Amino acid sequence: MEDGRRRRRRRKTAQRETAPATEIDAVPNDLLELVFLRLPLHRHLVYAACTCRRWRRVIAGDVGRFLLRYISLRGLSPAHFCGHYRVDERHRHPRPPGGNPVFVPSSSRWVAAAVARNLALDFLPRPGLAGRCWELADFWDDLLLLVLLDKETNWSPAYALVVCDPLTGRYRTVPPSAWFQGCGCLGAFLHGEDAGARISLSNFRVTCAVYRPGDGVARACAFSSAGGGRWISGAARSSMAVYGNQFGSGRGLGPFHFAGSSYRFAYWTVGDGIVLALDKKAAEFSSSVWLDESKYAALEDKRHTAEYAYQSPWFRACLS
Amino acid sequence: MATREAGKKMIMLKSPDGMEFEVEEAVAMESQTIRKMIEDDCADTAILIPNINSKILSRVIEYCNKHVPTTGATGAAASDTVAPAALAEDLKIWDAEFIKVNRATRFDLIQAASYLNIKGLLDLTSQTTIDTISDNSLEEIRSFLSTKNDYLPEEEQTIRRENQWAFQ
Repeated sequence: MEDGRRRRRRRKTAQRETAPATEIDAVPNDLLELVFLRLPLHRHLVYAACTCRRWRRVIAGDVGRFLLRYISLRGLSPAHFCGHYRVDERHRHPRPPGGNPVFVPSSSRWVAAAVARNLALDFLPRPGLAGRCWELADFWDDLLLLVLLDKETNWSPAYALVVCDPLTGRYRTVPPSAWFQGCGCLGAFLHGEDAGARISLSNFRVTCAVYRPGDGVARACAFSSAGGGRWISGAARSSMAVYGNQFGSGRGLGPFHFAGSSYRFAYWTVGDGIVLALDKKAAEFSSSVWLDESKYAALEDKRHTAEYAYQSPWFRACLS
Repeated sequence: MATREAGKKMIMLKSPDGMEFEVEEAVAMESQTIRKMIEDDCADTAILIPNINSKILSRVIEYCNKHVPTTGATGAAASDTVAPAALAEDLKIWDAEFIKVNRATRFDLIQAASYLNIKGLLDLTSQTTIDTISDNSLEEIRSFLSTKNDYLPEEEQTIRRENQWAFQ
């Protein structure tokens, strides 16, 4: 009798200790993957990843290996997430394309159902005066930079800037710099404050390129969100005189044509074989002369994509 | 088309705990892994199935027996008299009954289906877990699958905030 009681007790303890462990915890990662691969929507992956650390590692770890497999099984690539902003096309214009941004959800029904949200930018403050509009200027991770400009003229000053998160509809206004006075906006660029720390509405930098036809000076102005946010000026090479036959007249549009942008630099052709380069992070201008006329003409005539791919921050974070 | 032979070819499957199961070749070939072994002539006398104990292996064989295409197993007569739709319905009911097992067994079956490469069984066994994840709240997922929430409260808040779209 005593023996039987002891056995029963032992079994009870063993059950309590092993029951949870032998089930989900003992399931090897590759089996969990097999199950997760069959989840119908990528929203469900988020749920699963929120359940516990290990599931999150299986889903989001290993440089997105699982996620890439998950989406490639559905005939998708990371670029399909979760849509893009289409802007008005522009050619031979001082600024990159950015007018009239419209969110176009991914055409895949699967992704559209997963996102089930339209990331329209209708939460932005009203442009105020008639004839002004928000123009999409740049992206960094999941944040957008928009600039308030005159709709009609190519040579508009930047009246205001906002950095916003289209998923949450939150935004932060960046007041115009005193340097913008009388200057046309050549473009504005967004980047993270520091390598390491993720960009957020309280941690970002904006570099705005402007040109004053009056004295032929191009200037890069940098805004840092740190310490409540301020425009930092004074870099030795932040301003640059751009000489040329057409400059200095104070009349309308110069021959500035936006020529392209890479991770670090943005380029403009300014006529006479001159290419102006802006170091976006350092907020410094430099210029060079291109001697090959046909290449220069091709650069001047370059057409730019009018679509900005926008990924869900979830995938972006996992895949980067 | 293969004509019916007088004696069906039989295959011996062995589990690591020493049990032997004699099954028709057609049934065993529901598993792509075994099919490949047979086609490559590596299956002379008996096939040892590692990692799958006799309890799970017998259930897997049970599943394959039911799902083996009826024309080969029971002759042409069955498919002539029973409508395919009714047959599929019957199979569905049978599957639902088959999968009424505890969670540990279910995951063992997933593992077996994965190793033996039996797509139908893998779909069937994963479905319950998939349904749990896709139809329930986070707390319910945790309690149904008995996963332990090992996130700190602030960590969970951050994840939820960053993926707000998924929770709306």
